[in-house]
Amino acid sequence: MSIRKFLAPATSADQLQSQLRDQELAFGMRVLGIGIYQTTDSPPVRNNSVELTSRISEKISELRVAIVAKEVADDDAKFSGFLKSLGAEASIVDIATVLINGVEQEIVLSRSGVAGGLVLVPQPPSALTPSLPD
Amino acid sequence: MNSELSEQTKNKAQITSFVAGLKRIVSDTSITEERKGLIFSEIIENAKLTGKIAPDAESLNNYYQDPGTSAADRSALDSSLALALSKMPIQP
Repeated sequence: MSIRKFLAPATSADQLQSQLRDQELAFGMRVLGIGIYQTTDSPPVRNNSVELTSRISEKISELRVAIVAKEVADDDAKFSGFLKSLGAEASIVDIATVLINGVEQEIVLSRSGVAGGLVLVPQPPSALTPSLPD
Repeated sequence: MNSELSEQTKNKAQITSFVAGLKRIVSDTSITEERKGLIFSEIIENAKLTGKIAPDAESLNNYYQDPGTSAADRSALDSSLALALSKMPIQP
């Protein structure tokens, strides 16, 4: 199950990151995605909203918000390089357009590594010949 | 949208306290998982929300923080969780 909540207007990427971390650390939630929600009021009100699910018993690493410059967002090669620059251990949570200071801005939400001290140990190559059923 | 935002701000301490209570039950190693399930069932039953929430910490937290949940249900869950915590042994 997931729920959707509105966020207060953010004036910077740091403030947005702080809002998201607050949802995760203080409220025991995990951010699944983010986007812009527009009401059907007249005039419509637009604001950032997050999709969340509870994670009381699960440890997760902190979320990072990275702004994607327009020239990077518009160029596949540059965008690919940008994603790599987040680090090999980064896991992408969402790539979305949000409002920062009232202006639409593309961001990447990511987490670094795996929380809870899970260490991935590389396995030595096996000498066994793989066999698959027909 | 604005009323939902102001509700969230107003209820921040209440939500944080509810989450801390759930975490206390989940992280208590002296209680078996089966017993924890019974405690969560009791919290739901005492809040008169049987059938609306699955008896686990994640479902309780999701229901509690759902913007569609009424203030009365939240208040009932607060009281019910406080009662359950009062019955638990104090951790050293």
